[in-house]
Amino acid sequence: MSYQHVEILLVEDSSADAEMTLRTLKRRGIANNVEWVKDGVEAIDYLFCQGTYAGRANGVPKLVLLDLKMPRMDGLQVLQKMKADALTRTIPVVMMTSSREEGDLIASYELGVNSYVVKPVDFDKFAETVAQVGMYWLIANEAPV
Amino acid sequence: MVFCLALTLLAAIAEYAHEESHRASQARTWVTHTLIVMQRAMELENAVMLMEVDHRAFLVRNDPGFLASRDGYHQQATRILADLRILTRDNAGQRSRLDTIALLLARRVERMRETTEFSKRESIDAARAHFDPMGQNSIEPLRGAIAELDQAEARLLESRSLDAAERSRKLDWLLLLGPGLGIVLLGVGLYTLLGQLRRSERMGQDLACANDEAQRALGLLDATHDGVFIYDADTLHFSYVNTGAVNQVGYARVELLGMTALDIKPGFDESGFRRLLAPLLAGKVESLAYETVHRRKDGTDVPVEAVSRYAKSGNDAQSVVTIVRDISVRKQAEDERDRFFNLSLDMLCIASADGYFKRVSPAFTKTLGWSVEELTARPFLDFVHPDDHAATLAEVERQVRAGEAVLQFENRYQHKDGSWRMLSWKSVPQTGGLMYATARDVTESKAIELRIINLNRELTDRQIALEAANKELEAFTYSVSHDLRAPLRHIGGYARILQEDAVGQLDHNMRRYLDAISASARTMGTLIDELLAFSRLGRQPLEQTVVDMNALAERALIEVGDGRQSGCRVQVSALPAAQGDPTLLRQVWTNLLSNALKYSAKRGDAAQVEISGEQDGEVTRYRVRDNGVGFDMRYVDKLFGVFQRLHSQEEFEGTGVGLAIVQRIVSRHGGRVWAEGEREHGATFTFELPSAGIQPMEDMA
Repeated sequence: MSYQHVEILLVEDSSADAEMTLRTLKRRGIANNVEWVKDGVEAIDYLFCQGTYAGRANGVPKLVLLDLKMPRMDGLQVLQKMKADALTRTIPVVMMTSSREEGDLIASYELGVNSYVVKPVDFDKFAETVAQVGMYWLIANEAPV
Repeated sequence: MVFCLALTLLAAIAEYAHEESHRASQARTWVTHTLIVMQRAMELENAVMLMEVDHRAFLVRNDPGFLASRDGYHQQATRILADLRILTRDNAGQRSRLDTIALLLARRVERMRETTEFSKRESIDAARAHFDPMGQNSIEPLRGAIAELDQAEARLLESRSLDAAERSRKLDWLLLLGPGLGIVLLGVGLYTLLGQLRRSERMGQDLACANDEAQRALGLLDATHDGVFIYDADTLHFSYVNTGAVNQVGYARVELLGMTALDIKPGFDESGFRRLLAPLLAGKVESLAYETVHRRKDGTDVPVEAVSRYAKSGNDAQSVVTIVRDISVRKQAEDERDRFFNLSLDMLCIASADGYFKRVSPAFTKTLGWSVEELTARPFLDFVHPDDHAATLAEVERQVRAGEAVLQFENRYQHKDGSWRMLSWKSVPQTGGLMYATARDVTESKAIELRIINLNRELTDRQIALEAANKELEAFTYSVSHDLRAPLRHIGGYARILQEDAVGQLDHNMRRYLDAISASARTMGTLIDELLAFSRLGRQPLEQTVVDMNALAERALIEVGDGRQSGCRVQVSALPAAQGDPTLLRQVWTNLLSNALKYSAKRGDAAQVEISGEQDGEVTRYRVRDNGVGFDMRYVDKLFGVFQRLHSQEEFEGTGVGLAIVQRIVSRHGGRVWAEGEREHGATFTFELPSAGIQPMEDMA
C-alpha cells in the first residue's frame, strides 16, 4: 500500500471541520494520506492537475469528501465537473454537508453523488460519521480503480 | 189652396147651374154635396193623423210643445166631425158611421190623455209603455171608420153623378165643363191630400221606427254598466235613470225619480254643484267631466267618474244627461300604486324626454334632501354632477330614441346639503317619451366597494411582502442549518478534543466546564434542528391519502420506545382511519406518545397510556391519555406555543417544540388539537381531523 498515494481529497472551507475530520481519520487509522483543499476551484485544480497543482504526481484520490457550501465554486459544481470527466467520473464522492435542504440532496444525487451525509452537530456523532464513511469507502467498498 | 179653388169653382158652377138650369140643378147639387162631404172626410182623416203624429212626437222627444199642437188638431177634427153631421143629416148610414168615428176618436184621445198624465205623474218611460201604437186602441180603427165614410160617400157620388148626367143631358158644355173642371181640380186636391196622407203615413211609420229606436236605445242604456242619470238642469230632479244607475247607487228606480242629483253627491253642496254645472249650462263647454263620490243608499261611497252633457228640448225644459262610471277598482289600483310609490325604499320616478321629472317618490326627498316640488321644478340634469352630464344624456338618448332598457347606470346627484350621492339606475322604456325609472343610493356601497378594493390591494401588497418574507425566511433557514450548526459543532468538537488531549492536565472542575460546554452546544444543536423541522412543516406540500392510524400509532410507539424501558403500560384501541399525510400524522403520534411516556415515567409500573379514537360525524377524533404528572389548566394556552414549556429542563428534557409541531400538522389538515389535564392527575391530548374532503389550511411561514 503506497502511503504516497493520496487516499482522500477533503474539500472543506471550514478549517475547524477540516481539522476535526483529519484528526478523526488519523486517530481511527483510516487514512493517513489526506489532501485538504479549501474550495471548489482548488479541488478542480487538484483533481485535474492544473493551476496551483499543475505538475503534481500523486494520482487521483480514492475518495472525495466534498463540502456543499463553499466560496468561489460550491460542491455541486465540483461534483458536476467530476462526473462529466472520464478521469474523475469513477471516483466515489461523498457529499458532507450541514444542509438538510432537500433541494441540495436531490441535486446531488441527480449529478451522481455516491453518498450524502449530513454532518451531525454533536462532535462525537460527527466523528463517528466521518469514521464510518472512511471505513466504508476505503475499506469495505470495492472501487473500480 | 187647391181645395179652396176647387170649392170656389164648384160653388160658382153650382150657382151658375142653379141660375142656368133650375130643374137639372137638383141632381148636381147632390153631386156637389157629396164631393163636399168627401172632402170634409179627408180633412177629418188628415186632422186625426196630425193629432196622432204630434202625440207620438211628444212621446219621443218628451216635449210638451207637441201636446198643444196635438190638441189643436183634435179640436179641428171635432169641428170637421160636427160639419159632417150637418152635411150628412139626410143620410142615416153616414150618420151612424160618423157616430162610430166620434166614439173611436174619443177613445183615442182618451188614451192620449192618459199617456200624458203618465208622463206627468210617473215618467215618459211609463207613458211610452202605456201608449200602444198598434192594436185595437190604435189610430187604425179610426182611420178605417173614416175610410168607410169616404167610400160610402164615393159610392153616393157615383150614383148621383150618373143620375145628374141622365137628368141634364142637355146641359150646355159649361155645365158639363164646370163639374168636369171641378172634378179635375178635386182630383188635384185629392192627389195633394193623398200625398199629404202618404206623408203623414210615412211620418207615422217614422214615428214607430223612432219609437222602436228609442226602445232599443233604452235597452242599450240598460245593458251598460255605466250609470245614466238624466236630471232637470234647474231643479236637479232625476227624470230618467238606467239600470246601471240604479245598481250603482242601490236606490230603486222609483226612489231615484223622486230624488235630485245632490242627494247622491256628498261631495257637493248645492251652490258648489251649480258652480260646477254653470259652464255647461252656459254653453261654454260641450261636455263636463269630473270625478266625485256617489253615496249609495246603504251609506257607502263609490268613487265615480262622470261625463255630463246638456240636453235642450224645444221648450223650456232643460236636462243634464250624465254618464257615470264606477271607478272604485281603478281607484283602488291607483291607491295601491300610490302607496307602492310612496312607501318604496327605492327611489321611483317618472321623467319625460323634455328632461324634467314628472313624478318622484318620497324616497327621492329622503335621499337627496330636495322636496318633490324642488325636484320637479328644474331639469333633472341640474342635479347631476357636471362630469356625469354627458353620460346621463347619452343614457337618456339611448333609452328614449333606441328604446333600450337601462339596467346598470350610475351617476352622481347633488344632495341639498351640497354633497354628492351615487345613484344606480334601472329603467324600462315606455311609449310616449316617458321614462319609468328606479334609482338606488349606492354611495355607501360604492364607498364600501372602494374600501374593499383598497383592502384587497393592501392585502395583495401584504401577500407579496409576506411571500418575500417567506423567501427570506427560507434563505435564513438555509443559512441557519448550514452556518449556525457548524460553529456549534466546532464548539463541541474543540471541547471534546481538549478533553481527549489534555485529560491529564485538567482538574475535576475544568473537566466539568468542558462537559457543560459540550452539553450546551448539543442542546442548541437540537433546538436548531427542531426549529428547522417546525419551519419546514409549513412549506412542505401536504399529501392526501387514507391513513391507517393504528399502524401509524404502533410504529410511533416503537420509535419512542413503546414504554417498555419505563414499565409503562400502553393500551391501543381500534382507531378509525384518517385522511391526510402519513409522514406528518406519524410525527403527531410520535410527539404525543413521547410526551405521554415522558410525563408518566415517574409512575413506574403504574404508568399507563391509553390511545383511543372515534368517528363523530364530520370529524375523526383521536385521544392520548396518560396518568402522568399532568399540568395546570391555567397554563393550557402555553402548551402549544413554540419553545413554551411548563416544566424545567431538569425535571423533563425537551425543547418545547413538540406540541407546537403537533398543532401545526393538525391545523394544516384542517383539524384542531386541545389538551385537558390536572396537576399530578395526568393529561389528555385530543386531536380531530375532518373525516373527508379536507380543506387544509395553508398557513404560511
